[in-house]
Amino acid sequence: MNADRAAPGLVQTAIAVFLGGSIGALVRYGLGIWIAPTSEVPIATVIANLLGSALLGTLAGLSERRAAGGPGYALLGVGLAGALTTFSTFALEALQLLDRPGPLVAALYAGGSVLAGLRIAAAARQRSRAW
Amino acid sequence: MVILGVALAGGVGAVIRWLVSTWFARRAPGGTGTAVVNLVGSIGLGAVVALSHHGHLGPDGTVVVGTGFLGALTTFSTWMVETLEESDGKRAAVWRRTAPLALAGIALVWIGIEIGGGLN
Repeated sequence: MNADRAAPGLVQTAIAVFLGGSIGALVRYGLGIWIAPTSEVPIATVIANLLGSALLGTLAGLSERRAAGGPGYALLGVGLAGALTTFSTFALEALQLLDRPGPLVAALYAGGSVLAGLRIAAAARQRSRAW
Repeated sequence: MVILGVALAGGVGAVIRWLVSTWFARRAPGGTGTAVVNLVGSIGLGAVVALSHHGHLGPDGTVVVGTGFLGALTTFSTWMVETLEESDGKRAAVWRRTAPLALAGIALVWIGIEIGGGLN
């Protein structure tokens, strides 16, 4: 592929996604260390996933009036919010909870994360529409 | 060094997620790209957990690949916002976009663990 012929914004977008992704992963890693697992519920992942859902919901509300896909959205939305939150660890933790303590806690963790994530993203989107 | 590894792996994971989403955006219904990275990342994390359990992957490598790369390749926030946008407040559509993917993710982590040699 000839780099000169690539769309001018494509490399910039990739760099923005990379930087945002690096920061998001670092913050999630830091949260995991900082918030030591004290209870049965893996609270660090819950916090990372809900924080990221609030951020992406906010950006979704803002981008309805502006063209999405700019470098700012690539950095904060695709990169930061995308990488701060995680599905794979969420699924792993649900599986671990299914094993111990059991299906009820696993269902509460998975269902609670999704319901709260949807609520928070919707509320953030609603709020940022008015900005 | 682990911090640098997590940062680099997280950046790479996010870029691959972006490329996959962009590729699927023009070819498949909304949310397909996100579902694909999430499910592939779940198998991967299962395998990483098992490989780590058997000592084939050290503690640092586990964090870099599992937390950094696979954590950033997969995403929860995009899943939530795409669900909101595609379901338009309809409860049945919300269920269709969340419950099957969550169950599939859990099942695929388990399959990944088996691929990686199990936990016994």
